[in-house]
Amino acid sequence: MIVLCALAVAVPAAYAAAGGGAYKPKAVADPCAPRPWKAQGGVSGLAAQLALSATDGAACRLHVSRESLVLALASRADLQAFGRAHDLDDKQIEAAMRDGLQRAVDDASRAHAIGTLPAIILGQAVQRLPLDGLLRALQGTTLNW
Amino acid sequence: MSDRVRRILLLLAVATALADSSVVTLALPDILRQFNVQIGEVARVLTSYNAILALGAIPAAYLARRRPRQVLTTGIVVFGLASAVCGLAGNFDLLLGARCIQAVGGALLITAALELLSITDGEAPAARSWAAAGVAGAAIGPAVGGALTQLAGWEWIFLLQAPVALAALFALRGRTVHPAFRPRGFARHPHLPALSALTLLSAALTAALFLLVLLLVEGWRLEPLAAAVIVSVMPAAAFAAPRLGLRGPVAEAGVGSLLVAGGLLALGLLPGASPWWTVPPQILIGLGLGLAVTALTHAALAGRSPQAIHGGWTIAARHLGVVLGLIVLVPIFQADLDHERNQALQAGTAIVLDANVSPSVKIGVARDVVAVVDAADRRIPDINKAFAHRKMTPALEAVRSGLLDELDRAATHAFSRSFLAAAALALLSLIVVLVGRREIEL
Repeated sequence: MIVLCALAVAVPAAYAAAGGGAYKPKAVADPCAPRPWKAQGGVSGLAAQLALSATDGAACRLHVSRESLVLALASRADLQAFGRAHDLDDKQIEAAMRDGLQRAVDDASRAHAIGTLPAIILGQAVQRLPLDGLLRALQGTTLNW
Repeated sequence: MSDRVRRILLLLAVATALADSSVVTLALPDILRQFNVQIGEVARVLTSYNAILALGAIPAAYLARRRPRQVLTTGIVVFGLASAVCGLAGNFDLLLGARCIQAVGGALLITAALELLSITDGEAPAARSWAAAGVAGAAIGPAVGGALTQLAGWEWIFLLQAPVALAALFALRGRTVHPAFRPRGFARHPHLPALSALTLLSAALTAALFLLVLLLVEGWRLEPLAAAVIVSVMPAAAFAAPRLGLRGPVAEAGVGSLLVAGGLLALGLLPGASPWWTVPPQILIGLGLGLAVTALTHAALAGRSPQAIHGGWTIAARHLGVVLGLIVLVPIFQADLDHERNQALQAGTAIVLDANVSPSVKIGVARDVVAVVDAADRRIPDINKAFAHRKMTPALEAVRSGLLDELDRAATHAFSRSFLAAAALALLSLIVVLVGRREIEL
């Protein structure tokens, strides 16, 4: 009887010690923490890294994960649903996306992935593009989810 | 026909009717797909049977007490025919309706069989063999159901039940029953501590008999046959339980409840998605099931008369417990599944975003993965389909295995709180056993 009682306690204890409680989906990275610039070759590789950096920046500003923002960028309807879920209006999302794209341009410039003049031109474009244009900029360059 | 063969046929019918509360568990995913219903709806295939059995057991026992032979014959025929209708059902509503009628037949069959066995074999031996048939049926159900689902289709679970039940009619041929010679026990009121503990323990066992099977098949994508082999550990352990040599119903019921709680706690703390991790907890649960359910059923029947009515109480308590378990555990599981699905989607998105593949491949993989996730419609998606037509490179293989790992983690964690809640129910059963130990010991 004592052996059985001990087993009833020992098995779950062993599972907990083996990391049982922590076996769950991995947490996603903090978008506000800096990530290394690892652009692959070519224009598309650069554009992909720019978009990743931009979504990091926008997600950081909105206090959401980069991944949830990327999933929201699948379509205008998804973005609106995302706004409703996080109590964000279009202006807040637009401002965050401009911030994110500006951060991406700055990151690329710091990593010498783009020159000074292209960085200035891209920075100006980021400040002037309308929301749909920003959306297309992010979707079209990399991840059309 | 010898008495031994008659007894075996009757007990086989009892085990079949009691196995029916869990036998379709491994078939639920197939039923869900065939009739295009949600998890919550398909669970009604289980809840309807268990609820009707719980509600019908006592009235059926009173009927069985008056006319055991006729009630048994009616129960066998109704159960057998309703099983055949379940197997041939062309839509979900018909399946549900037939399951309810099957439960009515089951209630008549189970209680009348106990009454008849008590008359022919004596109360104590009848209670022993009847309780053992009940434990065997409940424990073997998922494994048999899984094997049949894969080898022949879920319909055959029901189609094969019909002849097994109807064969028990042969046990009645040429048999005369003399109700006047029934032995009488000394207590008439139901054994509340034993029945309460039985209800709580059955509610806890719902997690092992239903949710574990869903985890293996839906969560970890095992074939029903493979899942059936894995969950056969539980009945094997349940059959070994009487050899442990524990003496006394309190020791058996108490240690059994503790073993079930420990096993469920371990299932709630699985450190990986391998089916092997479920084996030690299943051994604990199987031993606990064999010890506690048998001991509590004996305690509820011992020295009580009429046997059929007290047997009816144990059936009502057990199946009320199953319904209670489903009512408590399924919503927890569904809420957690939604939450983990979102977590896995984010973790999977991170894997694709950070993958060392070209942007065009990322876009393609992302589109295919989203399509597979959408097609799964709130169920766990088969990510392999998103890679089926792709030429796999090491980088793409890393993405695929990363996504599968996240899915395994999400699926396993989605079941975790339900198993922990079930462990709490088993501990409550232990408390009831300890509080009512004097009455159970009698």
